Amino acid sequence: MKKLIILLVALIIPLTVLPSFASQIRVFVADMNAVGVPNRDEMKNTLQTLLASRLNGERIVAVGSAAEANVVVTGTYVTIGKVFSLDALAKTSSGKTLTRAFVQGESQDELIPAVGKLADKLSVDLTKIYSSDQSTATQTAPGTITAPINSTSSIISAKKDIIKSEQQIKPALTGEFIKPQEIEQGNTGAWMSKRLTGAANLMAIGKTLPDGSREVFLAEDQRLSYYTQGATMKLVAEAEFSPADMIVSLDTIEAADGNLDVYVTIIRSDEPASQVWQLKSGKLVQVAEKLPYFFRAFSLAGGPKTLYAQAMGREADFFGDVYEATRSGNNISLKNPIKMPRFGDIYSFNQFRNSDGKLMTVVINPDGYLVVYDSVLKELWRSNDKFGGSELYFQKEDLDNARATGDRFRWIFLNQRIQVTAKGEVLVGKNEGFWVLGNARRYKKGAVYCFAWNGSSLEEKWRTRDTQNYMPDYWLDESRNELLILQTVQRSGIETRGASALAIKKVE
Amino acid sequence: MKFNKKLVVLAAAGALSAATAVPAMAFENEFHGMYKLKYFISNYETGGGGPILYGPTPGKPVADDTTQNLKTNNYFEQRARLFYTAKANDDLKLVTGFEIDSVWGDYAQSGATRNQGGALESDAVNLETKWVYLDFKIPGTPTRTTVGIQPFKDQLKGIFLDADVAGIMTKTSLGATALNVGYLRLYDNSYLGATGRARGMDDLDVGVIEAKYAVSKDLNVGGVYYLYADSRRSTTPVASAAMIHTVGLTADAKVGALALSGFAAYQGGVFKGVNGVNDNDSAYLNALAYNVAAKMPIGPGSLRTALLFTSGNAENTGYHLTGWVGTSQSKAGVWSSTTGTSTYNESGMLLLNRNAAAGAGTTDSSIVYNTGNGTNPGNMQGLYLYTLGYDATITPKCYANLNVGFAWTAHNNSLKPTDKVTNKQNASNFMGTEVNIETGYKMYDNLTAVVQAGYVILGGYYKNSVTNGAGSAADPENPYTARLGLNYLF
Repeated sequence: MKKLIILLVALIIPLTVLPSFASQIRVFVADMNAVGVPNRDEMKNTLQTLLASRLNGERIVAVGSAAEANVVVTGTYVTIGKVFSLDALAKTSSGKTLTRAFVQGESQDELIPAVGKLADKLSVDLTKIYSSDQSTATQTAPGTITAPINSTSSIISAKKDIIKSEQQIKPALTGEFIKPQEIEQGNTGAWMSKRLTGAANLMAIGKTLPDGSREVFLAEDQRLSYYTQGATMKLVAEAEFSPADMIVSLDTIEAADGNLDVYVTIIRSDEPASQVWQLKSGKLVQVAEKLPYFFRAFSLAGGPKTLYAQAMGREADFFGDVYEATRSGNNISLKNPIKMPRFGDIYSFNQFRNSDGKLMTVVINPDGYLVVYDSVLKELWRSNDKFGGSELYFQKEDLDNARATGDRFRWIFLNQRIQVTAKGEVLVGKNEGFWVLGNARRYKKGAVYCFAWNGSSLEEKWRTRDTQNYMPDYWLDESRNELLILQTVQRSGIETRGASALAIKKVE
Repeated sequence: MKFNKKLVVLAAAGALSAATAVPAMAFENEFHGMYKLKYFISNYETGGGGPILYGPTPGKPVADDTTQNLKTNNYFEQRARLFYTAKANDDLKLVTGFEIDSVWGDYAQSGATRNQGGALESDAVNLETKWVYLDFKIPGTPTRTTVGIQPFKDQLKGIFLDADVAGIMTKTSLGATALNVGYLRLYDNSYLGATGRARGMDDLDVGVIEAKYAVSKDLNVGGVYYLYADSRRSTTPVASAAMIHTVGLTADAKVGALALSGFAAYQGGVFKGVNGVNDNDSAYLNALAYNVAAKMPIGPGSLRTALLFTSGNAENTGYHLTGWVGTSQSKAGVWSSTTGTSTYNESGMLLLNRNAAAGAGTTDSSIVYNTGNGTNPGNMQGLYLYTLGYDATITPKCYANLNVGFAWTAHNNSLKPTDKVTNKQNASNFMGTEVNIETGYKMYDNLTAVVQAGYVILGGYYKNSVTNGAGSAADPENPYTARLGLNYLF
């Protein structure tokens, strides 16, 4: 009997120990900053990949997102002269510091071995910690990192933010059920700002500052806000407009004098009365006003960013052609008219080139369908799915229809922008919501879709994961391959300006 | 047999699924609508609609108003409109519009008809169909066609015809030119059984040709022609037929920040058989109307001003009528003072003229209810209406509009009130001055709480024209209105 008990105890003890040996440490290499090196973005990604693969082992498994991880590793690669240092910091998913490690080297040739050494050091430390159960964090479910890291371009990876369309679904090996499969877009991910006061409708990106941070302009109905986006969003300056003004577009472009012009398209008394602002000594200063045009600065057919203007007619909300515009003080000069196809206006169109180099025009029509026109503006294709969707509108007095509609005003909704990249990819926003009925619109989630023209139709290349909020605007910063997504986290109301958040996703 | 039944069920289910799936894929469903609730406090408005204070002895709004001062009416009116569009594609859609309106406490259940159903237990059959029309583009042409019962408003700011009406309209866009051509059938009196003639022979028809040219972004010019052809043997004035041609020029311009608009129009026509003797016994019409309006942004809002003129008839016109004629017709072929088929919304007035943008709809009451300012072509007094207003945006959620307006008749005739002291018509043509204010608070983008208040100081035109409660001649009481409302628009 005794023998039997001893035998049972001997069997049970290893069984109780096994789980702790068997459970692997899930490590996510979130970001490697690179300082003082050429090809900084490329180097960051390379180091991230190298460290992740070298950490991967028997006890440690490198996972693809912070959400899956027990431990999140960040690091810095600094070169001073020929000497370099690789420093790493490991934290729990809840933010508690676990260990630090570094390796130095004398030349670039030692970099790859140094990454291996750094991985070894981290592995040893983490194994010790987890074996001795010093970290309570390992017992908790992995959390989501929302805090920004220490650099402008430090975008924490969350690989599942971008979903490739062609492999969204894959049939299970057996059975009748189809499981969704997400394909990650590169080894990068998302950064989310803190809550920003004011439900912004529009966003425009300015210059990159010497410290690597980025100028971001946000506009509410009657307010322009200037932020710098580095590790955090920092509000630098604001300008408030008259209650009679309604901001319908916000655009930035470098002026001839090298300053950044911020074009604020305003509707006042039923007519465009736009303004131009500049940053002077960290303050927003108005440099032009009462410009009778709608403005938009964008890359037509993926070309250089250019300012365009369109007028309002006596009856037509958007009159005639769209022109390239240049400003001299309060004077706007127009040249190179662009004919609009049906449904096209300055805010709903863009162009791209097909494989033969012919110019195609794409618009979002009022029903939300993407429509592609050929070079003579003849319709070629339209989407089956709806895109666009915006809560931003302005009103014009419409006494002609007041008896019939019961409304003294006509509502003119501004649709989502269409952005075309230098590679000819077509980006378009899409909002969806439960309550979208006539002029009553309340979208609840949004996403950005990327298309490419395959010769006969626009084919989806990827799309972002749906936001949890209405997405009023987005912008792909091609210089950094970063997708900025503005979200309304709280709508404005009688007693509140509401709130926004900015998400940044890396697109590779 | 069992197998066959299952097969039939499956086939039917499949067919049903396909049938219901196809429209969902092909059609766009578009909804718009509104709900307006208004609480009225007024001495002249009663929820009935039509003109107030007209005729040699302007009537009192309610029968038991025998006291010195008019009693105050208070009532709630609600009006809901639902517009549904079934859109097959960009170039083909069916547009429908419905209305349910009532005054609280009026009638209910089987005793109620249209415009009613607000009494205890409600349940009235009171769904009105305003519009049912097909809107399509003729393939290969730049022409859109609307066919059916549809809204129509003339390009003379509504002073001739602004109503829901059955007809065919075409709209052709040729570059900067827009051309509208249409035919509207307002009435076919063969349905009344009075004439006993074939369908389509006793009609009131309106023909439409409107052209507009956008000279530039800052200037539109246009020309209009409307044919009013009434072959129903109108009874007032007694005529076997009437044919009126209305031609006009329109313009809309922007000069700097100043927006200007206006029109000039002429009406010429004939009323045949006015004495019922024969068709050669005709009266001829020559009437004019013009308008000029300006709007400019100043401060936190816009300053607006406008003048409307319509010509009127003298006392004994004989066979030469000079009063502006709208389309205020009843189905019986009678010119009706209560038919609200013309509007002038630019005024901003609440009581002085019919302004559908500020009013309630068919229950609007106003001193100048139709733009000819009379009850039939023989007594149209015409109108000078000058208005000035300021629309202010106080906060992004709150607005206030302040208006003042002055009205005169253009001509004197039998409608002019009589001074009960002298027993003569008053010398003055000045009908009165209205001052009003509207403020609104946007609780949500689509829901606005509104307060409207207006007061009219009656002019010399009305001097001593009524008998007061003490039995002596007196001026009619100045009209006032105060309205609290909720507007939900989507």
